[in-house]
Amino acid sequence: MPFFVAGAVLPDLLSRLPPALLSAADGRLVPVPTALIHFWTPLHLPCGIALWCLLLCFMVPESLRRRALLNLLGGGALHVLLDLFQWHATPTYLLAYPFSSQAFELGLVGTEASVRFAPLLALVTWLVWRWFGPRDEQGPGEPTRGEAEAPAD
Amino acid sequence: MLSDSQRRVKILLLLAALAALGGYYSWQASTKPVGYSLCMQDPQAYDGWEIRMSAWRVVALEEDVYRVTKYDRTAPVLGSTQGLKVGDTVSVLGRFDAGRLAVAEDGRELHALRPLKSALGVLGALFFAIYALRAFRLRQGRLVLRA
Repeated sequence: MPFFVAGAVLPDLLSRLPPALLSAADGRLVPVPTALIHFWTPLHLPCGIALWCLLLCFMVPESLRRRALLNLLGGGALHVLLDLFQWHATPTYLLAYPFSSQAFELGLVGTEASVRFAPLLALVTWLVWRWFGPRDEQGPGEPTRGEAEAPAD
Repeated sequence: MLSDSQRRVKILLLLAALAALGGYYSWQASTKPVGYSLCMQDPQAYDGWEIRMSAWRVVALEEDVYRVTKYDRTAPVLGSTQGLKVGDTVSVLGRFDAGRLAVAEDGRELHALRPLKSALGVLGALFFAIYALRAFRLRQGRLVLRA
């Protein structure tokens, strides 16, 4: 699950955070060439996602690697799939880049549609997490480490 | 392919591939003129050319003209400024007007929820950072699950 979540979140984090920081620094701290801001965009495209998923999976032990890679790729694929529903004035998803510069998107919802659904989705996510998420295996009657080590009165 | 054999070489190759991909994209995006910048190379030839601008920021308002910017590009747009303010994000559908060297607006979408979306993005990043710290840990230089 954590690798799937990472795969779903990292396309935006890797492709948006560095350009946002560089844009904020541009003019205030140092002049930042525009090319350096564009540099991160492919990390949001399928080819870039596949490459950083592979890179990340080499950071985990070999026994976990295959599962981690599949989860990272699954999360990344879900991210791209949901993004494809958006509409932009200029379609932005270059699915086959760098082999093709043909952009594609389904254009069914606006770019800010997620904002309206976010509270509901957050609630559903929390409920699913509560019901199906990892359970604390410690029995209710067992003392926590802190309690066990606490001096008795 | 996923084994530990030649792991460092594989990591270096993947880093090189990512750098090449980013470099190629940024070279294309920086040097290949599109939209308004393409039209400005030969204004008469592109008179009436359809221009689509996705999520540009409004930086100046004049009477029936507003200026928008994205990255290092700025363009004047001929259209009503009613309901617009500096700092807004808009997507514009229009045509190049060679006489005024501007984009004549045919349609516009104001992204009123963009600041809220940005804030949600920051919140999401913070949640993910907390979650990642709880879910992963480093052991002998490798990323492992805590559970």
